[in-house]
Amino acid sequence: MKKEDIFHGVTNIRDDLIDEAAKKRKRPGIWRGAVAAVLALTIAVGGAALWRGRTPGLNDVNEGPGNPAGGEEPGKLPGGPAGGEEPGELPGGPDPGASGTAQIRTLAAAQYPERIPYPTEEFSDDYDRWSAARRERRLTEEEREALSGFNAAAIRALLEDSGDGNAVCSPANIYLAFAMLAETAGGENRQQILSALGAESVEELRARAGRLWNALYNDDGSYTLKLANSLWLRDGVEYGQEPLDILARDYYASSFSGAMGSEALNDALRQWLNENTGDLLREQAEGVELGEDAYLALASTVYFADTWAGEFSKKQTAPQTFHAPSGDLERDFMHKTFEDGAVLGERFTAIELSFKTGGSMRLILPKEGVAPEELLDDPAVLALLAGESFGVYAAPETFDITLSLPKFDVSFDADIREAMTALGVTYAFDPGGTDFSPIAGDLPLYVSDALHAARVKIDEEGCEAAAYTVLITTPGAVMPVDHEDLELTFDRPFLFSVISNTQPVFTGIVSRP
Amino acid sequence: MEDRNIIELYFGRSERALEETGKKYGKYCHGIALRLLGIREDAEECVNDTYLAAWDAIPPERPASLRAFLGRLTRNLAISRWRKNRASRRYAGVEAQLEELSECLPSNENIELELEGRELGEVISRWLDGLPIRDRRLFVLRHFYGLGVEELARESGEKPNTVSQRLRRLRADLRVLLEQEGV
Repeated sequence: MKKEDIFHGVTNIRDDLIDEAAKKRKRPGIWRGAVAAVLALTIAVGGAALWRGRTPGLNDVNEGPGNPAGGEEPGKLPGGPAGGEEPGELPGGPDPGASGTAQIRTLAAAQYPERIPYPTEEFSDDYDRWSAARRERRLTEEEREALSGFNAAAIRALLEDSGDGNAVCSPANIYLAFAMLAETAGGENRQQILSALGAESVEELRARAGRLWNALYNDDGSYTLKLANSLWLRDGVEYGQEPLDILARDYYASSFSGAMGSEALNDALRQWLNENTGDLLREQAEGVELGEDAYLALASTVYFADTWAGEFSKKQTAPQTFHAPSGDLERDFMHKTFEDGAVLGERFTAIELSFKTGGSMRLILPKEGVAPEELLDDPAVLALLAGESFGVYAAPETFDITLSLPKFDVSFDADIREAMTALGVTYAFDPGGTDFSPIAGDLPLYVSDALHAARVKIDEEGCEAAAYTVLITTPGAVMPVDHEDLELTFDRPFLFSVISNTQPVFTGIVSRP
Repeated sequence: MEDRNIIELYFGRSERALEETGKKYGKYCHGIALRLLGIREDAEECVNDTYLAAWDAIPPERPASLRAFLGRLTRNLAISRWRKNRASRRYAGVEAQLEELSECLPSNENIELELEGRELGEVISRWLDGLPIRDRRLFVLRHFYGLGVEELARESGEKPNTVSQRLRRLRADLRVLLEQEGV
């Protein structure tokens, strides 16, 4: 017998002894990451008046009416080709393009932090470096805790009034937009926004928004979750320099200036929005307009795309009836059978579908006779939608799940001033004007429009899978383990949430897939 | 992510299995490799090899404890690396482990203990079962995970000397057991 043999003997001690010794030490972090695909945009604007012609309220594009103020000709000025088919060239992403036109000046183009590219080879040194950098950007327990209050409150306020239609919103996107707004606000106005966002000071908020931005942003070749921020300024106005610098540096915001109310500036803004939302919200963006007396606009976007960890087979997709509140609809349902955990609540059943590169979509099916909105009163449901651990309601049990899920493409746009009022932001929306001194000095401003639009599409491949196809093999032969069967047919209105790095990037109610 | 979900990813041949493994156990594997090899670069390679080996092994294998499974793989790969490179590189951790573990070798040269790693693992496990939890953990932390005496002392709040002595006694105890088994 050699000493090496003893080494091997120790290597082969029983699992429980190895686990026992490790457990009393630091547990490896458990991370429920997630990501799905989609995009959303939020515009918060300060000004004496803005975007006339839109009334606050919900506008479900799938229902048809579209933009009530519609019918306007697309701008013809440089920077926004009439057809809008050409790729734009406004800065806003990591690779700033050419600057605008005579009318539009690009004051600053965002400089995004460098990212380690996703390794092309599965097993390489690069993989570890990439993975370590990603772990580095993960939010800490404390940071998640601090964001969870806002997430739950925002989801509730934004989804509550979906009526019989669909509702979609992006809590992370709204958070970042209002964080930027807080940087421009002063006094009690700022304080209100800070407390709605769960921060004590603007420095704390800035640090947290930066961490959130970095935890979410991903464009390294694995999945796509792009964030972009921008400022739209009025020619000839002297703005407070400090918030401009902070927004550029800490919020990666590009800034543009031009003549408020001009088609050129409006076109440039819409083009910027379309570029940074993968053109998914073109219809909604048509309605975005800065009025002549607008003082400043802040814009924030998010765009996400990933494929399912286990794709749905197209062959198994078949039409089936969805029981919408307004009557039965015939829709294409995707089908899949797999073994996974599920949370069985008294009034709902929840499952989680993983995306390929980390991230997930949670799906919550209310029991028959329960409307999705009713579940928003349940803290457990809000926690599930807001990205907290799947086990928050009950330890998920393992089942053999037979899933029937309609393909959907749902969108939503709304003025979210009312929803944000429910979170305690009031001064900022007072037409009498309030303290925005860091950016505007003595001039009182108010947020005249707070537009939020979001759209989520899923199909057999993933979420917004158009140009990004990665093939994943379907879970193959699994050793037979006996589990109870769970049949889940999403044939009535349900809730979903797309989660990345524990944060709800998109959440919504599907009433008309 | 739950271990069983990670294992499902391996069964589904999803490369996300590796990412999830790295996320949850990367640091753990790296700790084992680095303590044995002592050279960061080599430890990193060793952990990459661990992922590759896990990918090859699952399926068909379905580890009951992913942590233990990965820990074993890392140790096996570290010792093979030592065997291959020992002429040119000095892996302080492996050498220290082998030196200390040689104290467990039955003293009688004539005893031919022909136990394979797995069987010997059973024997050592049963011996560990009989120890107080404090000693059991101490032995596993030192000789499976490769924690240093200083580190162990900090964890248990004892003096490094005391920890060394306890470990020596444990190894002597194991030698006695192996001598008995060999008879």
